[in-house]
Amino acid sequence: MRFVRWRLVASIGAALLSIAAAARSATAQGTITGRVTSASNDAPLFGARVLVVGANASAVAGEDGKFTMRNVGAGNVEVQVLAVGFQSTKKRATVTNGGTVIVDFQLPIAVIQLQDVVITATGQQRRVELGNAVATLGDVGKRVENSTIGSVGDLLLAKAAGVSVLPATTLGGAPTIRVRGSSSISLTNAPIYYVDGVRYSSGTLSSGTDTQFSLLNTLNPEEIEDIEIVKGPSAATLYGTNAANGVVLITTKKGRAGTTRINWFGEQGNVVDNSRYQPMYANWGHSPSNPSVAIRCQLSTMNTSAFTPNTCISDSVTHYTLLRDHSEGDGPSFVHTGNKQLYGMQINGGNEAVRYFASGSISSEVGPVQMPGYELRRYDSLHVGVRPEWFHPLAQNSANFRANFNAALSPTMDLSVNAGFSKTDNRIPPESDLIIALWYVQMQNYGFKGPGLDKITTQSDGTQLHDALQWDVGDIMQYYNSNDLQRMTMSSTLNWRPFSWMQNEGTAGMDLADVDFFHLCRLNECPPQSATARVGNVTHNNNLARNFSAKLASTSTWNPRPWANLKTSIGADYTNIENSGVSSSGTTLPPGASTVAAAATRSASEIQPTAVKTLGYYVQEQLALRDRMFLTAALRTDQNSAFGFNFQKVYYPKIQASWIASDEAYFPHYSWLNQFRLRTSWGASGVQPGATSALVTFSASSVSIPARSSTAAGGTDTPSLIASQPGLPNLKPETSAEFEGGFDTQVLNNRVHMEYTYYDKRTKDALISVPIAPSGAPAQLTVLENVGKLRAWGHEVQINIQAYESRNFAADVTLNGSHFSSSVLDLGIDPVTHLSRVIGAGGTTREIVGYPIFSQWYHPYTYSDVNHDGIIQKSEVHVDTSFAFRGYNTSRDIFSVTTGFDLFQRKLRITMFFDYKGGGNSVDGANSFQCTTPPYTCGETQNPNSPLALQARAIAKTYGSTELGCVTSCSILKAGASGYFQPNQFWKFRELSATYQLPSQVLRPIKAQNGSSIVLSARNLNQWTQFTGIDPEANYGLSQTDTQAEFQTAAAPTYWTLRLNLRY
Amino acid sequence: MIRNSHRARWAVATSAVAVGLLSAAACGHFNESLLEPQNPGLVDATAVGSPAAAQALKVGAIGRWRLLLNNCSNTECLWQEGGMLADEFKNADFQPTRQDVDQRTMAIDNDQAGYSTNTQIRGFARQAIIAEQTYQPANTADIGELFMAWGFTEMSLAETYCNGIPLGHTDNGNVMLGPPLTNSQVYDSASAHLDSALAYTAGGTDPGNPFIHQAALIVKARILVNKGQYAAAAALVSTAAVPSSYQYLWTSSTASNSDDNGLWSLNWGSSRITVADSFDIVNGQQNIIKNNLPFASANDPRVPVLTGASQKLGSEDGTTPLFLEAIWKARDDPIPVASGIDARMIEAEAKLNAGDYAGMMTILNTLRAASPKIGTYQPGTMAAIATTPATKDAATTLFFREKGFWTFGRGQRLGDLRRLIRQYGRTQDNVFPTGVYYKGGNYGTVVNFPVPPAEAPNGLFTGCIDRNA
Repeated sequence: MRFVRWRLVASIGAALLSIAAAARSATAQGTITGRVTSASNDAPLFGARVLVVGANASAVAGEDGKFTMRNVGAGNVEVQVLAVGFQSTKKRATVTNGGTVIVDFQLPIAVIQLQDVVITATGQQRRVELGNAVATLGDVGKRVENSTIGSVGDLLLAKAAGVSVLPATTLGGAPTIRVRGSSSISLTNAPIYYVDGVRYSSGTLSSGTDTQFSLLNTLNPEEIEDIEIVKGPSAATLYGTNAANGVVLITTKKGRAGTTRINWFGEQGNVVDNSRYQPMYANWGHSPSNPSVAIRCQLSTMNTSAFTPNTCISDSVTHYTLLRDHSEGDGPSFVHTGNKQLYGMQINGGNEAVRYFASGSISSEVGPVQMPGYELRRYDSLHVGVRPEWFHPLAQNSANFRANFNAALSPTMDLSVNAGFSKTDNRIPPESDLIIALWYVQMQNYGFKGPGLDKITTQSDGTQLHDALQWDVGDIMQYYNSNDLQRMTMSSTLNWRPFSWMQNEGTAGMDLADVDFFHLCRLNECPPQSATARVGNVTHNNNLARNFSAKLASTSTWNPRPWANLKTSIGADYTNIENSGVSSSGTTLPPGASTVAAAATRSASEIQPTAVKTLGYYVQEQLALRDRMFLTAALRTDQNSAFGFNFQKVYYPKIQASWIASDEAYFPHYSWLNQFRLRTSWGASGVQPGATSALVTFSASSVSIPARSSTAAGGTDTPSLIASQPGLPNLKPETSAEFEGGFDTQVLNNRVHMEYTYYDKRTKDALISVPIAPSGAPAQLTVLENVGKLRAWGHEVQINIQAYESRNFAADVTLNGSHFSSSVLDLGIDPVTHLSRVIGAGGTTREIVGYPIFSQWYHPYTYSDVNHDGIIQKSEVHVDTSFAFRGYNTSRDIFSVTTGFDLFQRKLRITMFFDYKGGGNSVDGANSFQCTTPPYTCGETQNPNSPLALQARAIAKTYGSTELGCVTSCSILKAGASGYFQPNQFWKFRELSATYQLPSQVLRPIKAQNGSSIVLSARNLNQWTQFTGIDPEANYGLSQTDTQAEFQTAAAPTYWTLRLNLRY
Repeated sequence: MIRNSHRARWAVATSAVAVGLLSAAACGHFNESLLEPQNPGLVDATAVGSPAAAQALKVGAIGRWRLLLNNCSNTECLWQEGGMLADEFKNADFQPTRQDVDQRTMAIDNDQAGYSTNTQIRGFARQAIIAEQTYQPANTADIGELFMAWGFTEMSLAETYCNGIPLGHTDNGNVMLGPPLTNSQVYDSASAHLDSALAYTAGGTDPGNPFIHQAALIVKARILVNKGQYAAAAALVSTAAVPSSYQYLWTSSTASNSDDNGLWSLNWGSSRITVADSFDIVNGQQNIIKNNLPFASANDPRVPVLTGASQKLGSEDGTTPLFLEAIWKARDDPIPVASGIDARMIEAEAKLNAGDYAGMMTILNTLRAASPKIGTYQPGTMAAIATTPATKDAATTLFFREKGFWTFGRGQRLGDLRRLIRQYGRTQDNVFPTGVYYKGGNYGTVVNFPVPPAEAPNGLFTGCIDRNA
């Protein structure tokens, strides 16, 4: 112990001595100042970034375009200016000790607008220096102003090659974001998030129904300046453990020097459910033995021209789409146009010494669900007041506040402090995958209006169902689920530049999320689904997520030769991610009561509190040759509290190269080729195991134990333990190493910019939940083992085209595309069979060497209309005993087209955004359920005009066929959802917007300034797909195996919004 | 000068790197405190080495034993699914996999009747026995009770699943797997555990011994009946050894609703199962279900039934008529696992197989005249059955009908129907529900559950040896 302290003191002392010695010999410094303007109109370029190439000095131009860089090392330096929308420009300058040199810039307009500076683990860096691809969304603020963006998921959707977003289809739902596909079998495949340098929780939250809410949705797009996606391990090495699935870096808006500027915005919109709800059918018939009684014919058992089982003779067919029935004016469908509002204001300003930014906004959205009029009248007749949360059970209210300031504490030291608070309240009715669920009871109706046939017209307590199935819509709407989330994020960054060649940065911050889930059915509320359903029940859960993060980074630069620059970075970071929670519930409430405390029977529990801590150190060396070739090598080491006891440290290396080949004199110069850069990168990072996966644990609970007596009427709740986890002392993180290579080029007079990247990620020590045979009577049926090797690879392309540009008109197109593949390389050897392991044998999702991760397997089946009667009978379907590989469960091909047109002297801009997904499959959950469960009213089982293939899939699932060769005690082979698992490719018209810059005649009376605009925009306008279900993207979340969960789930609604942006 | 300055800077940069790395190495102790796991709710291995922990593990194992009935999530528990494959319950929900069980057409793909959790019960019992033997060896009633739970579970597995159930165990995380066993071999294993239970609870000083010993006698006798050793079974459970009023109960917490009576949960709570009957309605016409006892319509005091409509309840699927058993009408009503009624049934079956039909009738009519409680439910007095069957076939039919009503819902019916095939020579279509299935198609021919693919990691397992009764 004493030795350790001595080492620490000695090391720090040596460092201080070295720095002091160096400081004495290297203090020759000067100042560079100047002004950045546009070459086209001499307007100052507010926000332009000025930097000294190969050094740490940088500055941002103020409102007047002026900048000042102090403490620049004396000597000949190269100064570069980067500004979005303008061509990067360099100038040389000579800095003298104590002197000031003036360097002014006039930047030509760039045809393609790209972000030239990106954020890395070691600080801001020019994109050209990186060997890896970084996706940057660019000016998020402008996009949010000009289109219907409700969440971070909306922002990321199809905007960055290789980034897949499955948007939530229910208000408040969690989007599923994957970067370069899935590459972990048992651990998360989600990227990690940083907001202003602080680790940001992005987990999901229970909503009380199917949909999972997301912590990510508390992040207000209005407050975001920029989003960068660091895609894979080769780029994310310095982010260490947990970065293997990519890192999303979010930068919030900051204050800028200049006069105080105020942006006010207001938005109103409609929310329309355009889901492709399908009609239900009724095949009205009669039995030959009793013609006077109408019965429902099933296609598979009704008489046809060639099949006469004489169980049902069809008379007529009707169909009915209850969710689209508004024939009674206000019902009976609960689908109703919703609305949304957003109001907010942002202020920023300051001077070179102090800059500030403050933002506040409130928003509300009512989803497209409303209590039908007949229910309002029923409750009125019962003298029951309809509460607002029943009338509109799907809603969200948010309030967001953010503030930051940056202060220059001294010429060598800056401090920035950021704080954000958000409050989001969601409420949601029981939706699809439940017995009492709104969409279920109206989607799966009997196929006709009014009484008759097999219809049950009343709920079990006698309430009229109004053509819904089983449960009354109004009673379901009484089922109250709310999720209230309060979140505080704070960070502080100190930047210290003691010497012109050295920059030190430290950031510390926290992210606190407090989540309250509340469910309530008061006495005599909600459907009578069970004997105790209407005695009143309440649940109140509180969960806390706390992140603490701190990081230090120091970067020194040196030019050993005029053509060479060395940049050395060292850094350390620490994260502590804590989760805890308590839950309480109660049943049997007195009239009007709504608290757990008021319940006659109560229970409480606590989720296992966890803390996951990571401490990492890294060192990086970058060599820049003539500012056109950049070579980087780095190494990071991490310790993590979730690693097994015997595993202490993990090391992640990386090497990168970037070469602007077109800057070389010997590179062939063509008139059409403006720039060509090659880049390549190799690096590693990891994903940690679960917080307590490595530990030996026992579970505690209580068990009712009766007295040892034959007459014991009840027991005593007695504390108990059972073994839980066996302990895994050798547990390591999954480690992924990735190679990527590609090029960037600008051609045709800089009108076309193209980036191409190929990546190949290999994961070793993949954590696999290896199943244990239950007969071994283990405490856990699976055990995590580092036994897998996986591969994920793909291609990414981004093309920006400025097709035409003139004073009055401009047109531009951006194309994004990516293709993803994966393969299981190794799962270890089964110790019993000595063969390669198979994970998930017998199930539909399997891990098998040579097949993709989460490969999908189903029983194949064949069918043939042998008797040519146009109907598939049971005997005409045969289900195979074996399983067959049916493909990926997620989309492999993602493509998007964003096109914009500037009209009328560029006062009006119209943008359209289309996106395509393909190469994946998902289950048509609605039909899979409706066709194979009572009252069997989907078209495939009732409508004689249904395509044969659809009839066959219903029979293969419902009836299957007898096992061939089996004589006694035979199982029937059913195909499950085989026929409903189908390609889910689609094209969607995702966004449309028209932004009109308000003329001065309009602005003058309200004293607003130029740049104010009015925007009409829409989202989710139309889709083109062969998918037979409601929507190929309909989901209420994804399983661990990334399988899209859909079950009579509505599609995402269409939004139409009108927005006013005013600048002061 | 400039060159020297550059060298100095480079020296600083490299020194800084060195300092960083040295500091990282030197701060080992600091790192440990930063990285120390903080999991305050965690119960780790150090907490289980005491008599109190042994007691808690015993209670935990008894709690897990109840997974045969309670707290099943995606599938019904073994008792309910067994009752559905037999004729006690009908499926009233819309999950095709559970409908397949009711229809006797289930595929082998699914982990049905809770196979995995049921087999785990054995491990928890074994671990608790080791802890009790180490820390509380004088608690012989507890140890005997755990052996009984272990043996009962294996008996239930053999009554429910096909021939081919492996029985392994886990020692300190090392999983020892075994080959598939015939049902008879599994009964032998269960019998050995019951022998241990009986040995621990025979005499001794633990005041709990007599009560547990009686339960163990009943379970041991059930195993012997499954092996066809009727007389030996009856000898264990004479009236003197096990009075008719005896009940070993499973109870549920009154304070919490996390451990409700599983029959109540699925019938009253979620209405996913309904009491079955000898007929239903298909296409508006009465459909006779061959072999199904008329549990719902018999109006038998041993199986009181209420209609869902009378309680304003509907089935989960919204279409199946709901019939509610009224033995366990509350979520915390206790349910007998082993009882004096079971003992009398074992005695009566021994009489049946000895050809003493009059003796069988005496036992059955005695019970009808003075019905013991089932849990807290007191069946009303029933008239005696006047006619003694003349043939074994008739006596067999009558006995199993009586037993069906006496043991309704308590996990015995599937095993009895299988025995009617295996031990009494009947065919499956004269024992199990047969004919038109009310949700479409016909009843299948399955008489037991397959061991599911979850067992596949056991390389010694290649599927059921056979699907015979």
